[in-house]
Amino acid sequence: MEIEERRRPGEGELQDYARFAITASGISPISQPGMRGGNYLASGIEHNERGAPTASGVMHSRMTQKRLHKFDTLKRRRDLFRVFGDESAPVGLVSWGSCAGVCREALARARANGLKAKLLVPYLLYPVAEEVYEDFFASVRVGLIVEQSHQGQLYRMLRMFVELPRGVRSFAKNGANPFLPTEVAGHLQEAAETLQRERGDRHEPQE
Amino acid sequence: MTTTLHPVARLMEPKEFRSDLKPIWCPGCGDFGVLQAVYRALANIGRPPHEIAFMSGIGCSSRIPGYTTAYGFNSVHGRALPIAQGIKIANPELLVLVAGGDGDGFSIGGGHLPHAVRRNVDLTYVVMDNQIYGLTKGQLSPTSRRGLQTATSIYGSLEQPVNPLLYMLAYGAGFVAQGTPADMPGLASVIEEAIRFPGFAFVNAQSPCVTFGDPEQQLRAHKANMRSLATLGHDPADRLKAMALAAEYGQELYTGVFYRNPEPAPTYDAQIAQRKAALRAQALPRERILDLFRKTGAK
Repeated sequence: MEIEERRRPGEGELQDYARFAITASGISPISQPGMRGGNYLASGIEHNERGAPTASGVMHSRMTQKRLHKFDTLKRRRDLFRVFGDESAPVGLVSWGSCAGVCREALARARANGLKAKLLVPYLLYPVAEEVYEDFFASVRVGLIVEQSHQGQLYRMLRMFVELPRGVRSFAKNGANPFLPTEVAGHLQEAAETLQRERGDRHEPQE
Repeated sequence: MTTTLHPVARLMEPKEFRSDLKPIWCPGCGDFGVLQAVYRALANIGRPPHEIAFMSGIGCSSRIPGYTTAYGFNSVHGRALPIAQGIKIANPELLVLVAGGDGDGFSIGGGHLPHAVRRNVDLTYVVMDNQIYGLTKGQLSPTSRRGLQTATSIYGSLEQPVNPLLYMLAYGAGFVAQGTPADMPGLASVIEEAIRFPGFAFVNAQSPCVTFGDPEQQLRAHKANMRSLATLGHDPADRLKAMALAAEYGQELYTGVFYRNPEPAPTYDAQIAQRKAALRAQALPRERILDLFRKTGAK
């Protein structure tokens, strides 16, 4: 297990220390009680770079930008996503948490039946890593966002940030009964048949 | 004991603890007096600001850490005590102060009190008791007297107030005191004594809200009515007598130390240090902490 420490101030950074300094990455080094020169006020109220509470709209904008800028590093963490199956598949699944295991089984069943399909499992739900999803969905025509959420929260959140292909739908249900691999595989098969029909209608080559 | 005179402590000036933030309190607020008392107490203790962690919740009184040069943490309503305990346990060398109001401490934060007391982490908790929620412009608080009228309780409170002093004594706090800015030296003295006490120490600072508080309970009334426990001949080692005096909260304004345990219980932080020493031989590096939860023999 690797332990990642928060960024601490170096020697020179405790001279005229500003706990919430606006930096290139958005991340400012954090002192801890006992460090001479590192004293600051931590509060939930909006504050300036030194931690002093402020009602300035200008400072609030700068600090909001700083905080959100920290997400940019996270969004580039492709190691927090796993993709299974055929890279250029037209049928795609997205699922997370305990449902991901069911979807891996469903994917295996579908592929065993000759279907070209793939699955994306995010370990980072928010911020939404748009580029990762865009790359995944580039080949996808139909698919499912599978989640144990009555309102399909992941599906709705992805729609806020990503241009989902029109054929990608939500397959969501509440937590009373778990998903079964057979039902997910069944829905995948239906999606694939829909795609085949559409391609046939448009005289497109089948895969 | 880490909060008695530290080896490198020196007599300091109160102004060394004053930050450059201007308090947002109303002119005449009792909290100004509490702040001055804190400066004086810390100056006498002699620990430098960077070795002091000052936690608070939410409210006018909870703005106090920002007006000192200590490390300050203005946290969530009612939650200062758990955070303060964590900070002290993580670094027992720090001097840990906690502040908040009567609502922060005895309403939303009330569930934390008995556990903070029984855990007995070495810290000092100062409640600025003004019998009102002031920051939100005057609502009844847990210590508001029965019958008090506010803008949101125009017919007056139907509830009996809680008794902070009796609560803390009943929970078993080893140090319980009360003060008022109407007696600045006395308030500074009890805060200093509380900091020096090895273990959980509680100071109820009667700190009137000049804008929304009970007009009959302002500093002028304090000056007229306060009675020093020392001059009454009270023995702070007598817990039962302390409880009897504390029961008069709301009728009498007693100042000074109600109770000081003559044989303080071991602090939680000291006990942790002992346990760590005893278990040191078996200690794993923290990167291998999950090994503690694996079945024996499993990789």
